[in-house]
Amino acid sequence: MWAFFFKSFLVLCFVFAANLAFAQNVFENQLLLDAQRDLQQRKFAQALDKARVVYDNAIAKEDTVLKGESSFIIGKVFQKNGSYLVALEYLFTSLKIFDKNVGKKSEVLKTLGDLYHDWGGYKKGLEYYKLADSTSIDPEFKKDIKEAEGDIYSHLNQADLALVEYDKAIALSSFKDVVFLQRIYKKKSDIFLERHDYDNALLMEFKQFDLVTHSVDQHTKATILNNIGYLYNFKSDNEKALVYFKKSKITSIETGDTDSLYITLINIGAIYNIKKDLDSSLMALNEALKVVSMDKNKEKEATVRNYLAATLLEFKKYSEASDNNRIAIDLIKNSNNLSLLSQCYYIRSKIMEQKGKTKEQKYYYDQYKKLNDSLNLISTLFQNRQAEVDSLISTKESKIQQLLLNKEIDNLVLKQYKLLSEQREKDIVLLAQQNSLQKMALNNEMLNKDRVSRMWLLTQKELENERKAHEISELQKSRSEQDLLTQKTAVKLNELAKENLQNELDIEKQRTELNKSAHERLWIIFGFSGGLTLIFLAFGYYSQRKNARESQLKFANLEIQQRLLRSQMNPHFLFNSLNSIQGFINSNDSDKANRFLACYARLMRSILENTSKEMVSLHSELEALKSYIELEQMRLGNSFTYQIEVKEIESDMIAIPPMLIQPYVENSIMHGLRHKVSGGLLKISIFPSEGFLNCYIYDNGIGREASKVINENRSKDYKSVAMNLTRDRLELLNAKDNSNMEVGIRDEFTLDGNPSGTTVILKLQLVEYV
Amino acid sequence: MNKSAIIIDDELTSVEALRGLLNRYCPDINVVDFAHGVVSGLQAIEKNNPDLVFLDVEMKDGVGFDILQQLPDEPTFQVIFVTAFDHYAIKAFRFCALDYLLKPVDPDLLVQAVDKAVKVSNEAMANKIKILQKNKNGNEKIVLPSKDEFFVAEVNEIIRCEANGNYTIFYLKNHQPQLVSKTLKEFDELLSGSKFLRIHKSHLINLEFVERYLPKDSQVIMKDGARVEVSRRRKDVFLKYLFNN
Repeated sequence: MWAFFFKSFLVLCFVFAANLAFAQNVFENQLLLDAQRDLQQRKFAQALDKARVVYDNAIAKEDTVLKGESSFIIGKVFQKNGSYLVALEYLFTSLKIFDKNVGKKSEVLKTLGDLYHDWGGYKKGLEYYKLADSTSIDPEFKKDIKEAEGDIYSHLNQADLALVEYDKAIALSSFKDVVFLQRIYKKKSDIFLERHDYDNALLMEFKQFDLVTHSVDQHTKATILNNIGYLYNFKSDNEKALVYFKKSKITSIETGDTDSLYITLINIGAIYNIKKDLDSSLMALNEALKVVSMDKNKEKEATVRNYLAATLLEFKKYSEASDNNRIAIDLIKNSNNLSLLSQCYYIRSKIMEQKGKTKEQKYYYDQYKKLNDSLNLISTLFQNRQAEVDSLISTKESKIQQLLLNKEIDNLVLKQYKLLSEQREKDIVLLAQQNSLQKMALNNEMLNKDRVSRMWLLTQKELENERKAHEISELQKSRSEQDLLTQKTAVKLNELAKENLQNELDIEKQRTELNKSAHERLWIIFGFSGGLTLIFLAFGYYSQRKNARESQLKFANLEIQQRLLRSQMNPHFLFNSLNSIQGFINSNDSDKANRFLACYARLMRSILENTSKEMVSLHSELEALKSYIELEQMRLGNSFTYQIEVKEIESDMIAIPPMLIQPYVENSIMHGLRHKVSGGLLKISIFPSEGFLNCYIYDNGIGREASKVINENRSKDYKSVAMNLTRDRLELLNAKDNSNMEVGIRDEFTLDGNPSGTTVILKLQLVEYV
Repeated sequence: MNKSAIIIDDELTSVEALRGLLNRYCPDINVVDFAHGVVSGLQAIEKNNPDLVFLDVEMKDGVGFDILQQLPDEPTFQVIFVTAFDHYAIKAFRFCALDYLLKPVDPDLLVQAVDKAVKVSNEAMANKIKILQKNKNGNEKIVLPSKDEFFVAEVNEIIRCEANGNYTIFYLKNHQPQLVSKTLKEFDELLSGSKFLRIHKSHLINLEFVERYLPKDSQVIMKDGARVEVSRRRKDVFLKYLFNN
């Protein structure tokens, strides 16, 4: 009964809201839909653009629903992009607005959960997922939440709880949801495997197999068959294992999937090895070698060759084993795949043992041991760090929330706080990094120093992608301080930095790959009978790869955003200028038309030129600014004068991000000076101080309060879109360059307390222009 | 004082725009003819023997330079180039201290350019154009204008430039120092690149002529023995460039 009432109430609410919205905001709603579509297609820049327009309109119209919707999308864009702090601000705004709207609220809560999940604040993420879950009544939506909760538990090594959530997700989904179900079964299967519960893992694989046989997608079939074989091997049922591996082989040949083919072939080789059938084993492995040699992938070839070496060793063909092992080591010596390298060293030590070379055997065994220990050490280190991250994130969040709830938010305070907390976070990371480097150096005296740093960077890459570029440079600094890394490392670091850059560019590609890899994760087995009892799990290698890709998703593609934000120039201004020219022509004032046009062209030229660069000289930025101000003067009939003063620096030797000052000047003119009949003054002072470049933009206009009153009675013609964008831009530049640029606004008063204008204070990084 | 001019531009509206501006702001200039391309431009020049030619840089049947190249004799007129947007051409003009105007044309700059053209000798103009044509494969020579003449320098002979009020002193290999009537800022913009670096608000140096750096005094010694100060803020940039080159 209650449920019925509740439901019909919701429906009513929805219909009402929808009618209202569609009647009033057709344009904005269409934009929002488009933005949502852009977001789904990962066109972040476009989505942000559209949502921003809606957001600005919403504020002008004082339409809270629209404001909530648009801030939700803006928040989502920033979340996906890794600008978590900015995202938080928008998401909280949206959350406050949708407090009474059940459906929307749960969506926002889920996004908050996603944000913390990506950020690494698992506990917080879980809290928000639970809130979203309790708010939502839509099973389609709830199942996604359950999956996310399960993922977090699995990250936290709480497998039981993860299984519970995954089961709930399965219960909530329909049978048609093949892709979703398969993914969940896969995740469950992974957990069972980790707990050595092979029967249940097998069950999960068979369930996946059922799903796949009914679907068109044959691509994952080979993978599943391979994994079934793998699990049978664990159950010591080698006959069945072989049957499934062979099925997998046929399927992967059919679908042309070389990735699963070479792994399946390795597994077939392993089974024959266990069955002591040397010829068949070698045949399978050689076939695998043929497959990977077409791929030209060093790691794959090394994997196959190492297995080949192990097999040959097993059958006492020492020199051939040694050759293949040597090639494998050479292939991956310089790669980041340390677990594979440690496996190769292990086999090497075994070969040396058989050859009776004790010294070499000991050396390679030590190498293997040390690599392994280091890998373990790193994983524990990161586990320890989790608590740190959690507490850090929760203090930061409560601070932000407090500030937002407080109606009198002073933007500046918030920003300063953010800068502070970000700095602190960086300090902690840096400290942990230095500690662990030292620890590692102590633990691994014998270990090649070069490798320590490489390993550190590798793991760093997985967890700290966002700050990677910054930290590489920090590492380079610490090199000279600690005298720990050799010259060679510097080259490596450079390479990694380059790789980092490449990663950023390849982000889209990796995303698709990731989606694929979730289904295609393959398992390789290797069982040794007799004296060797080591079991290699190539599975571990694959999950490692997956994590690396996952964290690459968090990359904020700052450069792209930068370009987007830079290209903004108030279209109102552009078209109003053209309109002025038309006015001069129609009033036959050719002289004014000519001068205005020349000035307009000069400004356009500067904008075109400057916005194509990341930094421009202060001189050319000021030239553009002068053209802009002179245009405004002509438009407003010279009602104000302007001064630009540059103190203590040569403007052509200082660099500044283009079009950063202009929005504030525009604001001064439009909101301060325009309303003044005469005697208006705009004064721009630029001077250095303590490593910063200060820009003061003063106008003796009517002041912010009075301007607000006037603007409330006007349409939003001059609402400066650029101001908001500039704020975001500063935020992004700060994140990118690790700087603390900021902007503040000061209301000026005369001695007797009357408003006497406004000063905008921009504190920018002082950078030399070359 | 009346001078004759022709306008060569492949767009009729551009011709009209410039003619209107000349009528309004430069009444001493008589536009006697106009042409829409390289071929008709050459004919118009031959027919009218003008004092002044406004020459569009990019036209349908070739670039403005082609006209100058195809002239039977050295030009006996002043050229003012007109272009909408062409970085490459603009830089080339600046290296030869040739005047150019950007479309849409700024009335003040038009008056300035015309005033200057009236004063310069046709011979000087012909020489600058010769250098422009020689520089086709990169700007190897630069025209350094002084009060009433100009000096042509090889870019890789410039050791350093020093600001002197609104003038710049050029120190050259194998030549006397030249006092040039343009600011250092302009040459910094023009020359800065791999070889030249501004190390002080008054000094632009050619890094290839650096002999030694004295970190204590924050000075560089150039190959001609001159000591030049490196400003405090420029030190890092200077060292970076020095070692990268």
